[in-house]
Amino acid sequence: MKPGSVVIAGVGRTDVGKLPGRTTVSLNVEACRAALADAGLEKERVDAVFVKAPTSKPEVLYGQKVAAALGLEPRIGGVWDQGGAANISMISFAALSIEAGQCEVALVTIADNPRTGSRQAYEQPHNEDAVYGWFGTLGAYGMIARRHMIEYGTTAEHFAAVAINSRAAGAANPAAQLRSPLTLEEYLEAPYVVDPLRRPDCSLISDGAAAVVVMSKAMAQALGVARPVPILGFGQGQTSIDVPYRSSLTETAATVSAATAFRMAGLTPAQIDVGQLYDCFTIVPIMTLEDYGFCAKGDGGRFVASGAITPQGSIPINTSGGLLSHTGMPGMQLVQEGVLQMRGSSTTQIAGAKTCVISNQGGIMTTHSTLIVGA
Amino acid sequence: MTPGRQTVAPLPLPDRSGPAEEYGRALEQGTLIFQHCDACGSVWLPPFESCPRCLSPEPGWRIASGRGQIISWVVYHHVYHDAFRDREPYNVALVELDEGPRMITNIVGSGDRLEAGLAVSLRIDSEQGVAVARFAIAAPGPGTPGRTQTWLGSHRGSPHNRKQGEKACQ
Repeated sequence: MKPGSVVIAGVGRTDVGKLPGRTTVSLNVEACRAALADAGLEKERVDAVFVKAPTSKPEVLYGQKVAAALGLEPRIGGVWDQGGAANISMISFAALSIEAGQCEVALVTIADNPRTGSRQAYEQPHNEDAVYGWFGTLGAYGMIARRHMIEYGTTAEHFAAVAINSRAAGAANPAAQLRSPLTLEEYLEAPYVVDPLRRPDCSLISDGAAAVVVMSKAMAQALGVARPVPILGFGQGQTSIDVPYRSSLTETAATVSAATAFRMAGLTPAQIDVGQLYDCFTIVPIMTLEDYGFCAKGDGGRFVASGAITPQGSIPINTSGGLLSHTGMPGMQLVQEGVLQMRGSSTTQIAGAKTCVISNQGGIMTTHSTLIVGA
Repeated sequence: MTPGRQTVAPLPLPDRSGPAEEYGRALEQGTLIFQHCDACGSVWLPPFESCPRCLSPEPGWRIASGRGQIISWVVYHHVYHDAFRDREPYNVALVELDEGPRMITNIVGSGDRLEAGLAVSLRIDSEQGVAVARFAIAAPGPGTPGRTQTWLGSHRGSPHNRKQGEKACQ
C-alpha cells in the first residue's frame, strides 16, 4: 500500500466522562453520525463498519448490532478484539480492505461505558493467582514500572513528567474530562494505589465513543472531503504472554509494531513532529518512546523529564491530554487528536506539525498497534 | 501481611483442575514442582497441557529447590477483593526460581525490605485447607546456580543479564 493512498476523511465523538442511561450501541451511533458529518458524507456511502468490543458488557455479534442501529448492511463488518490496540488495527484493516477493493468507505468506531457501567474488566483477578491478591491492571503495570525502575533507574519524578504533560494539555482542552493541571509536588503527595503507581499515574475511567471515516484519497477528492488526513504507515506487534512469564518486563512488541509502521511510511522517528502515545499508565509512554526509537532503551524516564515531550520539546506528546486527562477511552481519542494536529486545529497545536505517530495498545502491553499520519 | 489470619471474606482459591492438578497435589505434599519438556528441555510455570516452546504433548515435572530471587514487586494499597480488606497494604512479587520458571507470589515477613535480586526461599502456607506457595527472604548463602533455558521470549535478552542501557532500541 502506497503511503497516503488512504485517508481519514472524518472524525466524530460523543461527550466523555459520565454518560448514564446510554447504551454503547447508541454511543457508537452518535460518534458515527458526527464522523460522517465531519466528512460531509451520507451514511449510504458506508460499506464497512469495524467496531471495537466494549469492555463493560461483552456481547456476541456486537458489530452487527452497531451496523443495524446505523441502518447499514455493510459488505465488511464485525468486532476485532485486541483491547485498546484494536482501534488502529481496524483502521489498518479498513485501509487494506479499501486498497484490495473489498470496500470503499469504512466507519471505525469504539464506544464503552465502564464509568457508569461495569469496570470489572479492569479489576479482575489474574488467572489462578488471585489467592496472592494479584488483581487488576494496576498491579500488572506496577510490576512493569517497578522493573523499569530497577533496570534503568527510572524514578517517580520521571513518571510525574508524563502525568504533568498530559494534565497541562487536558487543562487546555475544553472537551477533556480532567481539566486541572498537576504539579510535581501534588504528584509526589498523591497516595499510592498500587505502589509504585499513584493516582495521577493511572488512566481516567470514562464513558464515551469516537469514530473515524476511512476511504481512498481518490474517493475523498471525488467527494470533495474538506480535510482528509493521509495515512502514511501502520503496524502491529503482539507480546501475548502474561506479564509474569515474559522473559523481559521492560521490552514489548511495540518495537515490532513501530518498525513496521516507520518502514511503510518511509520515515524515521527524527522526522516525526508530534506523538499521541497510549498513556493508560505513565510508564507506558516512557517505554513506547524507547521502543519507537525516540530515545535509547532505558533512557525513557530521563527523556520525558528533560522536557522533550512538552509542546516546546523535540517530540511533543499527548496534546489532547491522553488517557490521563482527556478521556480514559482506550485509544481512539489519540487517533482523533493526531488528525486534529495534522489539520492544525488542536487545542494544543504544535506549529507546523506535518507528521504524527500514534500508539494504541491493549491488555498489559500485550497487543500494540502504530499509526503514522501526515498533513 | 499475615497469611492464615482471619479474613473478612474467603480468599479466592486457585482452580487446580486440568494441568494444574499435579502442581496442586505436589504442593499439598510439601513440594513445589514446575513443568519440564523431555523433548526440548525447556522449563516453565504455570502448567500448560503441552510444551509452549516445541509443542510436545504431555510435559513432565521437576521438583524445584525452593530457592529463587525477586524480579519485581508491587504493594497494594487498594482492595480489589474483600478477602484482602484486613491485609492491605500487602505485597505481590514476581519471583524467578533458580531453575528458571517465574511465578507470582507473596514475600512474607519482609517488612519494607524488598529489593530486586534478593534471594528468597519457599514456604508453603495453608489457606482454607489449600496449599499456597509463598516465599520468605532467604538467609545469605552461596550464589545461585546457572539458569536453565525457558521457553519464553527466546528472541529477547534476559533482563537481569543485560547491562543498563546496553541495547539501543530500533
